[in-house]
Amino acid sequence: MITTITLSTGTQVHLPVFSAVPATQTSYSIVTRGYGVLWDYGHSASGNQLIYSALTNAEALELGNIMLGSNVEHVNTTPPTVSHAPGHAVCILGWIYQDNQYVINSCLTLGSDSISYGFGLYGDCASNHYYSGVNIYNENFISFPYTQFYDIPDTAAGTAVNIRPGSPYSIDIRTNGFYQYASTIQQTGQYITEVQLKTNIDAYMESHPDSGVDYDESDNPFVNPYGVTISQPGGGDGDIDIDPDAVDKAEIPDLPTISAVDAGLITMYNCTAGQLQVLGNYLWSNIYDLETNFTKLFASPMEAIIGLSIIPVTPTLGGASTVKFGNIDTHISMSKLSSQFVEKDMGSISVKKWIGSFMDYSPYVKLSLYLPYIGYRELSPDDVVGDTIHVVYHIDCLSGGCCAMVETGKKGLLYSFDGSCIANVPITALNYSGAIQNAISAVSGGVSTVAGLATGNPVAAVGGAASVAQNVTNIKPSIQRSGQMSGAAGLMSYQSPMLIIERPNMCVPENLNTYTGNMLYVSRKLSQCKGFTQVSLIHLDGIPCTEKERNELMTLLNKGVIF
Amino acid sequence: MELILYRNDSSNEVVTKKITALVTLNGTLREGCSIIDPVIMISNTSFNNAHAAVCNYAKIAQFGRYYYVNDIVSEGNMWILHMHVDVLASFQTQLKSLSGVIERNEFKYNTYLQDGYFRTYANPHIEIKQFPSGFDTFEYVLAVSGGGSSTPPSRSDGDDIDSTAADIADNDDK
Repeated sequence: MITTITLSTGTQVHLPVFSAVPATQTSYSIVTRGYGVLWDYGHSASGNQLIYSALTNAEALELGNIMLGSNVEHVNTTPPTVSHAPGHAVCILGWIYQDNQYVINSCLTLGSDSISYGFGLYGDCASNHYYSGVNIYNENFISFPYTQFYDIPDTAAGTAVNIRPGSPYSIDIRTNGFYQYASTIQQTGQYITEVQLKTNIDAYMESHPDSGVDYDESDNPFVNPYGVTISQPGGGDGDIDIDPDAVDKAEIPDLPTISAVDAGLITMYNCTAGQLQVLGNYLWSNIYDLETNFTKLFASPMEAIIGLSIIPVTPTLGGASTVKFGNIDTHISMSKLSSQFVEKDMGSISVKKWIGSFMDYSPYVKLSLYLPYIGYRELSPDDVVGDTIHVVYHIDCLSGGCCAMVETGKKGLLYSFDGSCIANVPITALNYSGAIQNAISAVSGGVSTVAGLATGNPVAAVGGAASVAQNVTNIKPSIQRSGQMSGAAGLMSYQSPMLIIERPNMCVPENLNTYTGNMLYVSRKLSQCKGFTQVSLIHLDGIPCTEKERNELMTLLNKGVIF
Repeated sequence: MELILYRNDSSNEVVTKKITALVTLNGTLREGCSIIDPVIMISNTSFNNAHAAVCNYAKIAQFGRYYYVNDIVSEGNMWILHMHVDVLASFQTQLKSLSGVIERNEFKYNTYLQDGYFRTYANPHIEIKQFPSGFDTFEYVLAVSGGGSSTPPSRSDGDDIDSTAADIADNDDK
């Protein structure tokens, strides 16, 4: 992308300054400090070239600091005298790298040191170093009007800088690789007013016009397809002081304090089979008068019974009481429930790490938790490995709804699964048909459970189900171990929670570590390494080898060597 | 130029080779010679068949390098040794002074890093752990409409039931 910026006075990086040597001068001295480039325009038929090519070896050595790519600061205290044909324009560009900025500190003197011509700047010209130590008189710059200094923003450092082509005074300056190119010698009274910043691609396209891409900015103006936003470095602005493993544990809650039995419209009794038989006798007797006792609410005493069910826990009892249907006291004593809800603690088990490696976690390990009346549920090994699991049920004795809560020792309550643990006992014909239908639904949904548990070993029924093979990508599919486990199906099923842990059956050849090593991924000096060592990242500095050997070294280190 | 020929008993990836010197030769390079893949021709008077049988390593001090002997070719009364530089042994001093990111090591490790070298059998280990408690009691629960229940009376026969019903009828009459 080529960007044209309009230069303003005295605010940005300097372009080099070119001065023409008077045609009358046939010899001059060069005083330069730092890295410089000396140009002779029109020196040969082939065009502009570096003047040092015309110097003798000794002179070239003296000017060693101006050779391209030289990085040795050179102070030439005894300037050589160089013969030069009259009429040649000469440009001197010299600079030193000082205080993180390029500072020009060179000049061209003619005949004696008292007259100097031209100097240039490139880089941040915030300082006046270009005046130091050099005897330069502005009035001696025969082309001084061209020595206007233009600043380019520091962010342009390292990019190509171009003074717009087409101008009779244009000069292309490639800062990358110190390549300089002057298309036209400047003339008196002209100023450079615009600077174009080029990318390296632009520079390449300019030097390779036949590469198939038209780089003419007027024909192909660059349009950012992603809008005006330019990518910027960023990130790392999180709060590193926080504890990423901090846990504010959630604990298993208490039972609800509000209950349906508190409202007085429903009463729940815990009864024995004998008490139910007495109740049945009462219901089928003729010892009450429908017309006198049930006309207000019920057509039949049976209608007063909300339900009779079997639950797998002992409810919380509030003492013996006689059963009443509405306002009719049957005088049959049963234990009255003091709360609709009851808690059942299944205890805790530990899930230990087996190896103490990445193989102890997902996706290599699978955890299936069997919960009565709920079925199998998957737990994340990342949550529970190396910890304990505690299971507590909260059961609603009225509706049969249950909630199995799973908490870990370190992270607290993490999972809650719901189910139904009530088996309804039909009392009326209507109840009976409903119960049958429910049972059919439950069993049909739990076919796999019945099949799986038929052997008495739930795991055997799913043998080879889940495993870990070579890599994550080879994970075997998960098999559903149960269907709907609520109601009557749950009542017939296994009544204790259990955890099925599937761990990879690792195949480790003897002395594998001597051939492959083990994962380490730390920065370390190679002299501290013993045995097989694989180096993924390294700078091969300070090794006096050829490039081919360096590449071979890198390849060997990447594959692994033995110290 | 000094050429020391060895028998190398170490694998190529070993940095410090276990080598046994066989013979030291002195000679002059007569033709162009690569520093990476030198080909050295030596007389069979100083390098015999026994040497050729076991020689697989060399050092050229002037080159500052160790070499693998890749091939030994007999040609007339000369042996031609085709060699390739052992960069690990040649630059081991400089190499050991460098630091880098060690991906894997034989003795140091962190097993919690994913490692693709491991294989697993198709049949997994399966452990089953029972929780200490389960559902072990089953109870009937009767839910009826109406909340009015009272402490059971001492009477429990049918007459009481009739009287209760009569009491209710009497109350209705009032």
